[in-house]
Amino acid sequence: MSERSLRDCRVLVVEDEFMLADDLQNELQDVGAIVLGPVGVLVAAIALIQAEERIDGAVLDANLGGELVYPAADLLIERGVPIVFTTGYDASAIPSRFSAVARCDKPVRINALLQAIGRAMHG
Amino acid sequence: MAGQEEFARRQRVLSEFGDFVLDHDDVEEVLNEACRLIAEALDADLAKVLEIERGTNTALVRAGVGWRPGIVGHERVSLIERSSEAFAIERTEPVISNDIAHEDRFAFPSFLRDHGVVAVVNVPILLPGREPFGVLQVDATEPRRFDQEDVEFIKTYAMVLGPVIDRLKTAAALRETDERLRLIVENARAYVMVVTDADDRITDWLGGSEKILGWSSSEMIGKPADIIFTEEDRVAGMPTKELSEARDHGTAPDVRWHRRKDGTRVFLDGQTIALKDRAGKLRGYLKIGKDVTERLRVQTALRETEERLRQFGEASQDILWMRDAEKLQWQYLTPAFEAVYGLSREDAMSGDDFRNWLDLIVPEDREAAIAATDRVRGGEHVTFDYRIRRPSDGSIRWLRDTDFPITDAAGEVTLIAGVGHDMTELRETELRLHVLMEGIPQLVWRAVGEGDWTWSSPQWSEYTGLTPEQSTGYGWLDAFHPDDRVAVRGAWGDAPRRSGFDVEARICCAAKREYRWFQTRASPVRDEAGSIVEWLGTSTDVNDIRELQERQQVLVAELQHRTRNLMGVVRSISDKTARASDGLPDFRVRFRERLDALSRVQGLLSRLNEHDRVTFDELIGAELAALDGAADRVGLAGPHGVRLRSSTVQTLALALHELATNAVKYGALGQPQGRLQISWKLEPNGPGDCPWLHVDWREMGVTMPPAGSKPTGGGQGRELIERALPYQLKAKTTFELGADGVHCTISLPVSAARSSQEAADV
Repeated sequence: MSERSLRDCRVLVVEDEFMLADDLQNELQDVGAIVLGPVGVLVAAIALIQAEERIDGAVLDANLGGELVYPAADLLIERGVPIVFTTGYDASAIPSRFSAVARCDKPVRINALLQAIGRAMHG
Repeated sequence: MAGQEEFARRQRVLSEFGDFVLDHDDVEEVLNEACRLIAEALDADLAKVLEIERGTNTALVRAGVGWRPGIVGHERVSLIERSSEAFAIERTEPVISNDIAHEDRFAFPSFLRDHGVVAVVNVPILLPGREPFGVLQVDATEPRRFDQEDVEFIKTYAMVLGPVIDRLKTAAALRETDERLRLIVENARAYVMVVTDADDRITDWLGGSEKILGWSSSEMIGKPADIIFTEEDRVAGMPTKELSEARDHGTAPDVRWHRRKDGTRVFLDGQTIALKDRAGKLRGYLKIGKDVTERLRVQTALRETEERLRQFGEASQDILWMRDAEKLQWQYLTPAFEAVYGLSREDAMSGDDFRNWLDLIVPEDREAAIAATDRVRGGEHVTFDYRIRRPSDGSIRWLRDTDFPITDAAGEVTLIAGVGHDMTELRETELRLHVLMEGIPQLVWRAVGEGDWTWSSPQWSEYTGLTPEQSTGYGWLDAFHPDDRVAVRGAWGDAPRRSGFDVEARICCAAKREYRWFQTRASPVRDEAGSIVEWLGTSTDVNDIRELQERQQVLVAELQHRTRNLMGVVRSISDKTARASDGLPDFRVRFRERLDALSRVQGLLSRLNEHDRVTFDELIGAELAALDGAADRVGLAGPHGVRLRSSTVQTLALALHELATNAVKYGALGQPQGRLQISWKLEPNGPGDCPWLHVDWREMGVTMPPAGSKPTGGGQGRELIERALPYQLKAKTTFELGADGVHCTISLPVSAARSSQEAADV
């Protein structure tokens, strides 16, 4: 179901750890999604968001080498883009304004993440 | 003129009188009857008896017949001048005046003429021993000649009258004495009165004897008197000794316990009197004594009370004392004085002891002591504190005296008394507490109710810049951060219920003009009934601890993040290794090598302190050391101490590991003629205004596989260098397979030399 639902969807991946970003990119491509990025730093993420006209969903690592990803998340939410956080933090570490945002604990189980991003994008 | 018949009549009168006397013992009655009979016998209208009144030279009309009221018992005649009565008494002979109108020897009282008396006969009445009693007078209202026979009859009559009067008067006097004695004895109910005979057998049981001792008179008459002694006194021979002493000295004190009928005891205070007649012969004894048992009991009780109070005073740690209100000299001073003052009571109470006492008081407190003493003398209760200097060792002691006046029945202050309490220990404890409260680094304060401050320590004022006056009530709230004030007030609202106050809030440091976090706590002080009397509170600076805690929270979160990322990396490595492996044994070897590389870099990172960095030479050294001896074909050239950014170390280490592994398996370190040269240099001001490290990895003398064959080692090293390092480390990399080996360059930004910048490069 998630494979079909993510096909040709433009999914932004923000993840500073190359191997994780690479894995995620491969998995998303495997289910037919078009990966935007991945990018590993906040400025690149913001630049990408501003440059892309169409973003269907986003997977955001909360901590980008010490930088917090929240400004990018705010931008996406403002544009109505559904997002999913991947994080090593406790839920309590995430600001309350993102309480409605789906969250996948690292190390991410890829199927769970795909389902989460699918749910976020299609309600 | 007197015939036989007349004689018989007069004999009958005498006989009637004799009968009358036998039946009557009242003098008045007898004398009146005597007058009536003689008047009748002599045919006279009037008769009377005059009694001499001793010491007045008058005679009273004691009895009479025929007189008008107001004469008998009232009228007196003079016995001095021309008195027929006095004349008769003096002569002891009858005196006849047949016609008083013509009598020139005597003057007669007027009441005789008032009654129309014409003739008078006076016959003296003599008591036994010829003592004159008075005169019997017969008065005739008609002229008459009293003849010798009449006079003889009256004289006989008067001679009978004398002894009769004497007897009656003596009997009357006895009766009166008896009556008086009876009244005394019967009314002396508070006294035991016992009369005994010479053998000490009871003859009279009088006064309160029955009431006090319990036996009735009839039970006791005839009994030996020692029955009322106690058993032990009888055994000791006390009754005999007492009688013997009374015989020898007239009286003997009898002050001792006696026995009552019911066996209980009664204390009698009295004496035993020997009764002797005029000849000195012992007739018996009178024992008379008052029951003082109750008085004795009260006195004993009082003595016991006094003794108990005295023992109280002796045992008290406080000084109990009494002075006379006038001269202020000590009348009572308990032994505690010696312990407190270090001075014997004997010394303290010699001379003018009030003055001496004042001298023991330190000069600054003397005025107050004198003023307090004056107020007590004026009737006030006074409590005051003062210090004394002990003469024995010169030490100062704090005393609190509670003094009061003692008044007599008239309300005058006769004594002043007091209790002196040694408060030195308490004062010292208070002082120590004071030093402690003002010496500890906490801000200390006291409050009542819900945060109504009553006192604040100097530390509080110093820190907040608020004076104690400004801080009392709720003034202290001004020192708290405005955002925290609601929480602080709220905590006070809960404090009584929680029996404690505990809140973390910011307090402004006046000197630095900054808010710092304080933990403010208070505990209630309760009275014996458990009610909260006040609160003792402290505010402790926890700013540094809070900052540490906050940093720790950040670090823990970071650790979580890194650990979870690492797990992701491990999984990714495992996936990639699996894809590139030829079967499980191959996977095992490759995967273990990669995990080992990861472990080495974790080991390097975990040994670091906060501002340390892993250097490139360390990293490359650790990687080559893991190659089991192949390192001797490696040439290293570059500066020591190039500090790598910690975030880059792991990925860089994995890339170097892949290069080294491939060199061992397929390249310079796996072939006999192969050589590896690793060179690096530091560019202090590279792109982005930060230092860059340039690494050159060059393998030489390697026999390369034919072009177009499958990349050796799964291409994982190449992927890391060409993609991961640029992505993750912003590195610039090249990787090429030269004719005699791999040539790879890696340039990446590194950490600046030790500076504040480092802290940010996590």
